[in-house]
Amino acid sequence: MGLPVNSGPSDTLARRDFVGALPAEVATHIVELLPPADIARRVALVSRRWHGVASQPSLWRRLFLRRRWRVDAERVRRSEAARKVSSLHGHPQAALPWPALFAAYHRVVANWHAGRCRVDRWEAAHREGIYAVLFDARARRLLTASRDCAVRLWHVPDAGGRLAPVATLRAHTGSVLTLHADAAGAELATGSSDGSACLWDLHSLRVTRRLPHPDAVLSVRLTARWLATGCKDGVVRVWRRGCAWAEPTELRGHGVAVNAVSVHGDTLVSASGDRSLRVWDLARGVCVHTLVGHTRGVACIAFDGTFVVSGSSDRSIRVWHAASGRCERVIANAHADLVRAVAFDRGSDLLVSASYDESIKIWAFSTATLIHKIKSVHTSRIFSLGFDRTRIVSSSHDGSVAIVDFAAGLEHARALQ
Amino acid sequence: MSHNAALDAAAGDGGEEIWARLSVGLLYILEKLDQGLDAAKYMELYSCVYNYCTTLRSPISGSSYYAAADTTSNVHGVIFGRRLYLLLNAFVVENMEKVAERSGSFGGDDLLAFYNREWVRFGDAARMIHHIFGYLNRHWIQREQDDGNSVSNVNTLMYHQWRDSFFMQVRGKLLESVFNLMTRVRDGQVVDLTMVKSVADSFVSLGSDEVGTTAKKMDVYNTYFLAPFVKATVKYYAAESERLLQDGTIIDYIVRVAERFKEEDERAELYLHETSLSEFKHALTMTLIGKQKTSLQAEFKPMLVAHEKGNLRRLYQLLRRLDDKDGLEPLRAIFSDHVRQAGLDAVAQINAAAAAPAGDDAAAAAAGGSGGGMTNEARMFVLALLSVHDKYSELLRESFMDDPGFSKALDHACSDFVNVNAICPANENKASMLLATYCDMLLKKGSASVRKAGAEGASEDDNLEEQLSQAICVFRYIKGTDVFQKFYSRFLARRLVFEQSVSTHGEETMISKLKEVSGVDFTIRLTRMFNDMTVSKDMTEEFKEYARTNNEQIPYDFDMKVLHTVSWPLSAPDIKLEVPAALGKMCDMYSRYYEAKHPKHKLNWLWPYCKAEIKIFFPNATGPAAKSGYMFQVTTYQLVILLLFNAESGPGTGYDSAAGPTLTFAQIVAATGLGDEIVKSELEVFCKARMLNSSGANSSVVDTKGSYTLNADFKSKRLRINLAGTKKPEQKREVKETMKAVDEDRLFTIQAAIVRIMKSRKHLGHRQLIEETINQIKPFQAQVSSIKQTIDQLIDKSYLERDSNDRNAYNYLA
Amino acid sequence: MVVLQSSDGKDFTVERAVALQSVLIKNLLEDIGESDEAIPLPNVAGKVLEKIIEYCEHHMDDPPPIQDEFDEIPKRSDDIEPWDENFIKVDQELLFEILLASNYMDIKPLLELGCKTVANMIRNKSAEEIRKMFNIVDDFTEEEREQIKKENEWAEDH
Repeated sequence: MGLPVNSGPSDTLARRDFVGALPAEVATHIVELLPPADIARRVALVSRRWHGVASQPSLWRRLFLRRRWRVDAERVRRSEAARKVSSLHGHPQAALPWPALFAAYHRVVANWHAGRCRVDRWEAAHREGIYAVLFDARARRLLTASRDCAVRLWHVPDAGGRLAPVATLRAHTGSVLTLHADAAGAELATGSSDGSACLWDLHSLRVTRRLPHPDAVLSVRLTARWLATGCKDGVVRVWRRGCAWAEPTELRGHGVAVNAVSVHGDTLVSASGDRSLRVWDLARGVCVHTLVGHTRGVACIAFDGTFVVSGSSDRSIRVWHAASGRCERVIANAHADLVRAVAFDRGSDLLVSASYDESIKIWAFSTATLIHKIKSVHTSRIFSLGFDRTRIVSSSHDGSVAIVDFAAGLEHARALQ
Repeated sequence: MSHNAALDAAAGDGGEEIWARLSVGLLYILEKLDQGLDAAKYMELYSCVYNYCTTLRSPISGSSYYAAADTTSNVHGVIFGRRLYLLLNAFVVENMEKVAERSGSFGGDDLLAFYNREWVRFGDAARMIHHIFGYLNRHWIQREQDDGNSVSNVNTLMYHQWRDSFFMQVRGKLLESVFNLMTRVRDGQVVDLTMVKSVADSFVSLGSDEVGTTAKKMDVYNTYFLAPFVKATVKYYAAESERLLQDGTIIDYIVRVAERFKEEDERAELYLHETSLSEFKHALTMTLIGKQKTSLQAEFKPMLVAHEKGNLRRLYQLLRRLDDKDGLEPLRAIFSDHVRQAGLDAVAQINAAAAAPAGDDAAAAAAGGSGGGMTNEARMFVLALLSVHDKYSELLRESFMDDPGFSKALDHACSDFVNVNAICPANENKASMLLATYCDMLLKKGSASVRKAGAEGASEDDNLEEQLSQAICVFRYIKGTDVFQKFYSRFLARRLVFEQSVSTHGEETMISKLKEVSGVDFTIRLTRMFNDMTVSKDMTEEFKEYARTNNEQIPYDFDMKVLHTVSWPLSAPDIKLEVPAALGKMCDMYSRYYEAKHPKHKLNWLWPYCKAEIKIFFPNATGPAAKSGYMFQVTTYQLVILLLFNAESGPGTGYDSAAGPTLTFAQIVAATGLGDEIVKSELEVFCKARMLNSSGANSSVVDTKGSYTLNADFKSKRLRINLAGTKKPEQKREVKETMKAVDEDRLFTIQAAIVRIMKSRKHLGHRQLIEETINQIKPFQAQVSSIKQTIDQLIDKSYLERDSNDRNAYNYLA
Repeated sequence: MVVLQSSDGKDFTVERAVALQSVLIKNLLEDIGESDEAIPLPNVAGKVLEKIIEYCEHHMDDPPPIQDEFDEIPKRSDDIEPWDENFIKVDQELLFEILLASNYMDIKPLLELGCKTVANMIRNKSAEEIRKMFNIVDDFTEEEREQIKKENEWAEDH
């Protein structure tokens, strides 16, 4: 990283106003290379012309998109339309308020890093412990699965406020241990200790198919192409969707119960009480890697297609590279007890973990450094986690659900994806 | 912003002057590009665009925040970009209108030629103007597009105007000329098809719109070119089809239409856009085949019966063009039925032949003894199946291009007639048994006649391999593979123990083929049997070494096979054999050696599966037999009995007669420990061979009250005599035993499945339990009656109970 | 070989591969064909063109740049290679001209280099320092300045 050249103005030579005198497109190009906070705080204050360049919506759009965040345009337009009707006039494809959206992004990120948040908790969301939550921020929907044999569907209001119960789904005769919906959000899969997995139509809320297993179903994952289950009998079962539910492919290899599975594309990752994780190629039905390192059983995983994060009874969190099977990072003693749930997002460089020690921790994904520890969200073992750009949803042994909100009161923040 | 407002705003800032120079250049490019353009002019025009966008200064300087938040930012360059864009657009419109005017004087092929010429010329001009406006494309247009405004790049803008201001005015006349030309081509005239191609291409390019999806891009082409083009084609061929059917037979029609498709397919590839090929072909198909479908399909059965491969292929290729369900599916059903019937007929024919034995067949059956009937039946059966399968596989390959649907229909038919037919009643799995018998024949020494069936000139190994592959081909269709497995493993056991395999390579080949079809689980026991054989051989050598180092004498040649009980379908007899000292000593020695090596293993002796070679010197023998004795191959039981007669005889030995001891039936039974039945049947063998003399009147009739003496005068032409093989294993009993073992295994499998299901479900209705059980069991189709029986047994054993509230449901009792 | 002519009439004969790094020249050669005739660049002075040719000659064998238009990472300006860094050590006047010319001639890597260089000059400087460095007059009213500061308050959050 060399020193900037031409840094000192030389009195003997002419000075040029690069931003002011160059064609606008070149000036914009220059400004785009600077840190966004500097553009807002410094560049915009140089002169009127500089301000003109520094406040172009298209500049802020590019700055925003380069941060791997996305925005729900419809949502922003609706709230903009409600606020000031006139600004949309004349442009059928109304431009979004990109500077404001960037500001919202910046503030949310700052809140995550500073741990500025509001915590809402709902006691007795279920009669007994809640083993799994699935949070769909876009649909404002939360699904919870409990030991009380029921699955519940909730509406999550944008602005905070109460969780509103929408429906209760009953089909299992044992604890509902796991649930997952595909990206389209049209179908739901649940797994239970009654030895079955169920597929549901999320519009009619009816069971469309029941898949018997020899033992408790500990984890399910549903994608556009696959349904996968992890079973207590140590076998991962995979159905190719749209193939008339023929016999599942059985992936054998784990010595004991498969606690968690996750699927991305044609890659499946499984985690087991046998202390290992396995990476499978579903197209060929073979185990590609066995990830060894945890010194006790692996309780949970998160997988985004490239990286796998695992949490274990050995209290550590590990980050693995799925394609090579390499262990990238280890967070030893991440928690004081078993790590029960992990989730991560490389776009915002965050990794969230929850533990039987009743705490939730936020880590920087890339460096594995602790950013913030949130105590007193639950007063009992935490079982499950979900999160989006602005909120963490968690559930606990005592039947409560909590939402930790890092964007309380921030305009546009909920439209960020 | 309206067009005029933009132009008005240009007043007074130098923009008009730049535009004036630019528009002269553009006109030149559009009209006189064929005269060439020099670099200086090119650069001048490019610079005009650049200067227009970058150096013009709007009278408003600077900006305020609120203005900037709007997309019509006052950052300089933006406003001029829009102005230049609108000027260019107006200019192109004007130019295109002029071209439309000029086209007015042409028609027919001349119009096509004019259009073609202008199209090529416009393409070059558009590309160059696009480049000259590079700066506008790169910045202002790019940015408008990023912001989601519907602005197209310069190239697209030009094509839009070609389309809207010229093409849409002339397209009716243009198409008319194209159809006219196509009719002449189809009637056989030679015409320049590239004219059609350039018109079609222009329709495609005109739809190009950067903001649109691919589907949208093809809009112009699909609506204004493809649809009328298809319509004209359909009209032409509907008329031709009617004419052909009136004038000729269906077969003629098939041949002619196949030619027409070939021509049209080739031409379509030439001038139609790839995305529209399927639509065009579909329309053609519906016109030439869809309407005549029923009469075409009616030809299929007669062709099949007459085995007309060529016509079947043509018909297949035509009907394949239709939707699978309409076109080929009905044919597949006919094909499947036909093959099934052919298979059933073939089997019925050999069954009839067997029921009325005549001539050679009868002689062959008699010569084969009691077992020959079944072996022969197995051979005839398998060969009959193969002949039908091969015949229709060939048809599948040559006439139906290995069509997966037909292939499935063939498989379906085969698995029907293979399992149930005149020889094999339903639910008896006889086909499995026959196939296993056939395999035994192939792999057993001494059944060379069977193997001769292979191709001539091929080596022995190749022949065998080929025949094994054929057997596997039948195996794929067999239901109840567990039955096959049981029989196969019995036969294999016998081949291995009695060393009757034709070759180890053959055995291994077959097993690897079975593994390929049915998986490792299916063959694991078979593989283990081989393993035992190899290990045993090594151990025998090792044992001999052991004896040598321990100074123990091995008085005779000795070969042991140690078989793991679980892998082998053989069991030790109930008989308590009195082992003769000579044999017992060796057995004990081997047991000591083996049990020291494997302390946890226990050896049981499978006497019925052992053989011995002994040399007998008959007292009154003469010639070579006196000198070197007769060599007998005998079973263990025979050995034990014969040893009783082995004694020194003559003066001073206690036996007066040279023949040695005379023993009563009861004495023999007592001394050997063998039951009456076995002793009787073995004595029959000896008496029949005239080795022993019976006290009875008829020496060959064995009597339990009689007594027996060695025939001192025994004479035989052969010095080596095999007594061990004279008794064929009783096939009927063996079949029965094997089937019993299969049934036991099946019940056990059913029981395990029910317990597994109930353990996880705890509570289940009767019907559901039966369904799930059937679904869980793979190698055979579980019978509902067997499942019910097993459920009752499990209730008796207190694994299950009937639900007290619902008699049609069960609870699992842990 | 291709002959390029600067605005002040100087001819530069360069290899084809050198000239083709300018998309403008590349399109031109495609459109009108190649000839011995000089290609005039009316917006580029000889001194600047010489510098640009130096750059293009050095980068003649570079692989084509990867399109990063919507690459999902923030752009950076601290990744300048040593040769380029040395090459661009010129006075503000010439740097300004290089930026203009590379934009005109559509030589993306050079434009990128120039922009990064200017961005590095601006980086970490206050508005006042920037004005001083580039000799810019502050033309805001007090109200405008306060208004902008208020709008951009978010940038102070950490």
